[in-house]
Amino acid sequence: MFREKFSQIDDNFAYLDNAATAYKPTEVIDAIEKFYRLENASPKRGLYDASVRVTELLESARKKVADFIGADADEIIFTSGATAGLNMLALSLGASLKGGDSIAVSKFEHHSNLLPWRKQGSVKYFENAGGISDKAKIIAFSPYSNVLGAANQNYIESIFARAKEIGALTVLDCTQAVAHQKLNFHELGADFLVFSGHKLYGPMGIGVICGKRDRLKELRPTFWGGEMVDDVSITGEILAEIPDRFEAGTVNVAGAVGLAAAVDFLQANGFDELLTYEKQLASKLHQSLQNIPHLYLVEHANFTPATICSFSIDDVHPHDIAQILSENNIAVRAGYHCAQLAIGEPTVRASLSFYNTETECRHLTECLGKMRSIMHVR
Amino acid sequence: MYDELLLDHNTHPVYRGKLEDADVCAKLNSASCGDKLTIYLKFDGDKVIDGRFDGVGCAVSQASADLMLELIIGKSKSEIKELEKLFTKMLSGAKIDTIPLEDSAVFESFSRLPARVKCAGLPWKIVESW
Repeated sequence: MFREKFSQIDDNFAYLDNAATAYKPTEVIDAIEKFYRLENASPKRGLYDASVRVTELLESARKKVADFIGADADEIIFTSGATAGLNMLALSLGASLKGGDSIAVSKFEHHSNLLPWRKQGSVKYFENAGGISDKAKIIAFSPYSNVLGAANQNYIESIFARAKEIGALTVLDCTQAVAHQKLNFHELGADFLVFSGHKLYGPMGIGVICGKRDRLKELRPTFWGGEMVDDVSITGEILAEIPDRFEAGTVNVAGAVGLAAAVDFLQANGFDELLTYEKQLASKLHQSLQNIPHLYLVEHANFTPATICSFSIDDVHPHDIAQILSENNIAVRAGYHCAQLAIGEPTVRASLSFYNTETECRHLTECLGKMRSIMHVR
Repeated sequence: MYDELLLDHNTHPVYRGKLEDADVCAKLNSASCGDKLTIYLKFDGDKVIDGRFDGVGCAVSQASADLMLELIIGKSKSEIKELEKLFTKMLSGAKIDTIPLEDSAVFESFSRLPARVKCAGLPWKIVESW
């Protein structure tokens, strides 16, 4: 359908590791190339035309990304990725915790939304909203797990209700969600959300923290340096306005421009339709996988698998499955998927995008159906 | 990659089990993929006279343990250390004479896959404490 826009797509190779990183459409690659060939300059401070133009490109990218997730432009901070964003938030929010306060982290999180919090204070894990302590000041969770799929609405709503009840801040890891759901930050009601550009068909090395304006004003910067202050004296400094105060150093404008190009691409090609297609494809794949003897899907009541298919096969280790699939020109991921608390045991994960096809899914299920026999397991 | 020999040693290992009177019982883990091995060795002086392995993991780590025991039983610690160096060199992609490694040379093709190098090399970690 849109496959010709992705130069990496090869009809003889099924790329089913989209939850790790997605292919980039030509428009993204062209935008980055154009930036470095023709537009490159330092943003924000230069008084010459090229610098002014790059600042406009940066702010235009910020606005596009903000519109895409239902936020305002000044609520968007560019980072190097979701991991950087979550670490920044953990460092900053964690510093304000007092004795007795705790951080509630769902047990389904990617290590990026777990370890940074664990380094800041007392982390208590929860499986459902009822397990969140009154003492929690921060609640970190993901509306779309990288191993279990899309979180159910009642699970998400109950966490927000609990946050309101106890006055806790909410931090959402939307790294998977942003590419597979329509997000609306203002309707969602989260205090902060983060994501990476490269899973949203944009470049690596760019990501976003989106925060409620009032929350951002209260947030202490984590990184200090150039471009984030309005005035520096011997005794102190005056911070720049939000979001500039959180973007110390030269911002990755090429990355922001590439991410904006990805957003443009998704909107120009009907993001809603793309999501509907990949959801239908995923549903068919799940049905096919369920029919394979000795194959077990890894599921949880709080989640709907959606574009994520995690599974195991009796008596064949996930790494062997992934390697056999690789020898059959299918790319999947095997292991803990950086979410060891969520699954406990290694699994295989096939993750879909709208550019995947029924033929690719059929090839996967056929190979999986033969897996035990290939490995001489009877 | 998945040679018949490797598959056979995974599904029909010769040395899987425990040695109740072992002189060495080493637990080896690969944190990245969850492979776990326990290697049991019985010595007569400096020479390994019997061995078993137990554990869970991928076909590569389990077959490698079985093939390693096949190779090292009857050899001295210093001979085994030399074999471990050779095995590690083979997995690094270096061109070596693999004849001394006997059937363990089946893992030569795994050298270009860093994730699997760890699996194949797991049982050989036993020599690290010697």
